[in-house]
Amino acid sequence: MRKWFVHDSDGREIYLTEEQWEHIKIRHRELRNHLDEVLNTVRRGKRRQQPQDPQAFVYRLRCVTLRPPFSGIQDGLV
Amino acid sequence: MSPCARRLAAFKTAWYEYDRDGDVLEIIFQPDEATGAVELTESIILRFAWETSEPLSLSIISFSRLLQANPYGEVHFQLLTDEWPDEARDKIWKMLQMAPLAEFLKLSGYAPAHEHQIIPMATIRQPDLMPQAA
Repeated sequence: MRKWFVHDSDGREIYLTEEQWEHIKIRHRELRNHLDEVLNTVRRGKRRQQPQDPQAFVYRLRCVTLRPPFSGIQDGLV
Repeated sequence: MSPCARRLAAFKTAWYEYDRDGDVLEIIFQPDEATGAVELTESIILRFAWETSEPLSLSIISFSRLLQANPYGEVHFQLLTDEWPDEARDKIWKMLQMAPLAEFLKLSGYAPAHEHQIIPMATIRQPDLMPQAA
């Protein structure tokens, strides 16, 4: 199964599986043409650690290519 | 991810999809493209249609940990109202107070000692959620 690997701003390696991307394309259709921006959100986005799970983070980044008034991408990752 | 459906009030249906590896539960109300999204709490993201103020989905991160038992009863999560865009705040409050969101999240307020401000909170309505993820 295909995977995309990226590193966040602290050098953590994060991957997105093809299954997860297929889910995003179906269930988050507004992002189906924004794979690069989704990966870039992990690379360059602000990170919030989950209080109930220190291994899980939400990354956020402003995205100007989404349809207005949408203005950002949020990735929840473990 | 294994989807399953649940009948809601007003003849609507929600679909659950639980990612066991990521421990993320998605509750999908409508399959439309979102034009807005906001972090309701640190662990709950709402996607919605801006024009109609219709909620499209909830994503609950670290889902199984949020449901873990604690000695004090229900856990209340702080709503991140200060981080919501000003132009979206009214829309979000209205959505939270109505079905289908109100079937999954219960609003409450926390009054800290020696404070005058009430902090808005939300509880996940656990019995309504997918048993296979708990």
